[in-house]
Amino acid sequence: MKTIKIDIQQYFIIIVLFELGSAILVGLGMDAGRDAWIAILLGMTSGMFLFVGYYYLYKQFPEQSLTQYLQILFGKYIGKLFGFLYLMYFMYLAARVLRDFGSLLLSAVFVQTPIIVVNALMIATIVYVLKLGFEVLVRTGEIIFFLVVLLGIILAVLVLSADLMKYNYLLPVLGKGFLPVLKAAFPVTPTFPFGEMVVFTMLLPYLKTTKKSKALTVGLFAIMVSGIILSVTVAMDIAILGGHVATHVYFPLLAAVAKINLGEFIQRLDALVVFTLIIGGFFKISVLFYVAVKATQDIFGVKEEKKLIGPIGIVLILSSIVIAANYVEHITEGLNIVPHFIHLPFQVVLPSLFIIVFLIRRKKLKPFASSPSTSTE
Amino acid sequence: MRNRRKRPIIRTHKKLTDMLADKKHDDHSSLQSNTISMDTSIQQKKETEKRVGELSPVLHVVVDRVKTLLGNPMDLIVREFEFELEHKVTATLLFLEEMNDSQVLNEFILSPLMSLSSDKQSSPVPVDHALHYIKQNALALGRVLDVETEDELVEALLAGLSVLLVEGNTKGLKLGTNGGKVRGIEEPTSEVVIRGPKDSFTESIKTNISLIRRRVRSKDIRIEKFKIGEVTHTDVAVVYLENIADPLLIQEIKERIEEVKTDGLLESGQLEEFIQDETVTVFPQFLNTERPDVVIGNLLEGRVGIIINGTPFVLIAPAQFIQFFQSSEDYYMRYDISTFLRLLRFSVFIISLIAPSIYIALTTFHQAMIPTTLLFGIAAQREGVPFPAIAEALVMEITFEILREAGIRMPRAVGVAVSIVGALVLGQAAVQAGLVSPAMVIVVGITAVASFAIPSFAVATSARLLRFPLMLISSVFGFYGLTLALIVIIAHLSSLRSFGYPYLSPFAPLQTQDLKDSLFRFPITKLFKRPEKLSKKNQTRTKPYSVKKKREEETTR
Repeated sequence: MKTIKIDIQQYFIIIVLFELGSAILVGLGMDAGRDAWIAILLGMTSGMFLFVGYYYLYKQFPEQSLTQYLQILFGKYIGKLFGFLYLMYFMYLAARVLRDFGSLLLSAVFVQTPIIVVNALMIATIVYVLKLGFEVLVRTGEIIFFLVVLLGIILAVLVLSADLMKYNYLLPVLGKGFLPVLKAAFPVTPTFPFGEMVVFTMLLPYLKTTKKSKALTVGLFAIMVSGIILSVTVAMDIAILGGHVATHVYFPLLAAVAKINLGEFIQRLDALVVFTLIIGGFFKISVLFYVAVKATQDIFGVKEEKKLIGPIGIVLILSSIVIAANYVEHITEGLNIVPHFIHLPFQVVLPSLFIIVFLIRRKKLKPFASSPSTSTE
Repeated sequence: MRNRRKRPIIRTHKKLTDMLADKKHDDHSSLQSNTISMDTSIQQKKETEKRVGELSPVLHVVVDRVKTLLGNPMDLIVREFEFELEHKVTATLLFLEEMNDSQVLNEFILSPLMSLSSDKQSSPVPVDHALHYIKQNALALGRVLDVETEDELVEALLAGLSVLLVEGNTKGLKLGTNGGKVRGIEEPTSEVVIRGPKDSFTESIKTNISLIRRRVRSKDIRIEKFKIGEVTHTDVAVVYLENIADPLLIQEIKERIEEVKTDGLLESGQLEEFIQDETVTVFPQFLNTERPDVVIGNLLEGRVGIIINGTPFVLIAPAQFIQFFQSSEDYYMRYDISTFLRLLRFSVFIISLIAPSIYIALTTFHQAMIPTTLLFGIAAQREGVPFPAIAEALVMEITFEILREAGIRMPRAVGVAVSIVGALVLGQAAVQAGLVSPAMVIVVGITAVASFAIPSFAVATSARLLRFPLMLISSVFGFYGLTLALIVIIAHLSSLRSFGYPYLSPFAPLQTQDLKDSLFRFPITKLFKRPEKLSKKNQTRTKPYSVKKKREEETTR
């Protein structure tokens, strides 16, 4: 089995791209109305606490991924059961993001194309890239990151020069007091996208650093950077569209950028946003996909990960279609059901349980955790 | 690393097992036939072998033997003559006529030998010391080496050397008299620069090595020779700087070159295909150049040059993608214009890759992105055209490819006619006939011109090939398909390695130091380091230098 190595700047780039991937598309924390950007910052802060928890687990088992140390923590069978649940979670997330993107593309460009075609093309691309190896994905991510930053700067300059933003849309700050913001922020905003950092419990062992603590500091910094970008983007959406409109469109960023019109020449730049989003979506789905592959490998003891890529890809295409009958159902589920009943257990409750179990069984486990040779297969 | 090692190891392994099997087989058969008189037959065999390989002291036997081996060629000259040592000695000079310099043969070999006389010698020389004596005293030539076997003799003749045989000696001398006509050093044809050296490599490996040697007077330069081709015996030389290049890289390159077993090697492109890391790709994994200064620039960065006899194109490995957008002139001009030109070349590559695809995607899917007035214009033009944009684009692109190929192969006199017809057909007539829209002509025109502006022909062809699949996918999936296809291309590029060095470095994986000389070129006083991964042991190339600072210091004093 080939060991993958991710260096620290690549690690930073993966986190930022992963966090921005689909979150920048949908309006985050929009329940807070024009104070959504504050809700995001709050969500980010709590997301950082979650990450500290994940890091704690990583520190105890620096050589193993989540699905591997679960089997040490709970023994083979219960550990595999938990691992399987996480595998389902990762695949569900991947399918959800895929559906998000399929729907976006259908509504924006391909009005008459069946969604399965659009999704299948995306999965085909990802399967190709993952077959080249995760390292190739990471290196592709580096190039993509440059592109995204470049496009982001271009868009920002255009938005500023088009003089679209009316800052009084953002006023008054906390007009209805702090409570609505808190209500909007918890428990939904921390779970998406910041809580999704739980997938990095599968990737942290591949990090190549001299100091373990760097994984924490750089990780937190990356979360902060992406949180601030998200928050600024949402604030920009609101300043352009107004609090009311921004909270009621499916894709506020798209609607905001579509308003850019410079000298009747530079206009309808939403295609540029769609381009950025495709890239981000590609990356997010790829990471989730790969994590699902890794989890399957651990749980079912498959030696070659490349054999799993094709089948899991097909499962993802199909499940992205069947998880919801239409986009409204999909987004309602995403806003009301998923955060409470899926995200919270997998991101907060179960990891806390793992930490507690670890602390209880600490003495028994100590010899396992410290030795690197205990990777269970 | 592991990946690129896999193939050769498997191959050698197979070969080894094959060889072992053969050996066993041989032993077996010989055992069966020679069980009784084994000892004597083996001894006999050995003796005959010895007799076959070694040169006979009788001159005409050797000459006859050489003649039969070479098929009595008409250009084999056998010059018999005599000279005087203790007493008269017969000697023969053998050479292939057009491959030797007759003036050198006459002046420095025949005339001194024939004017030898016994009075000049202090003590008489016996015949069996004749070779040694004339080597020391009579031959006014730098390269004189012994020949001991027939194979060596024939090889020397074929390599363009002349061979001197003396009666009564079981050795000969091969003399470095090779000459004959080669093309002179001319200006490079494929890499023209405005400022920079104007010489270029030729087909002769000797000239090429001399061009490099003359520019690098370092004791650390290493030139190692190989012979490839069972029939052609082509000389291949690997050039590198020992104090800079990575020894592992050099070993790998040498191993791969030695692995090549084929009948002939005519051009560096063939060797490139043999020893490249990845076959299924449209991207070149070697840099090729006919400019000596480019080779030396790359040697200084820790890369390795591979010179092949018979072609002016020298290979440079490992190659990075970004190098194909750099020109040697970038280092001779000011850094600002060099940076501008590099960025321009890269955007030109992007244009030649995706311009038609963007046009197709815009007109088929994303009309809303086109400014309204322009959209009306394009729509009006396309009114009379019955085909979808992709059909239009394909017809035009393929026509252009045909014209281009015709333009290259045509005799120069006819070339003008082709370009006139081409311009008329492509431009005027096709539009008037309602086959294509004028906007499409513009797009194809830009693409064509752009593809000629890329300095490296090798990478221009990759854009040329990738253009068609990109056009197809953007005609079906618009920008979405185009984006995904570009991601696939980027992923493919980052998976490529040239001799184990990532193709997309210094971008992915990121090497901040090396970014200074990539798409940008920083002022030469700021380029302190060689590429990080290439030259691990000898990183520094420039010491910080600033005239301004120096002057300031002087004035404060």
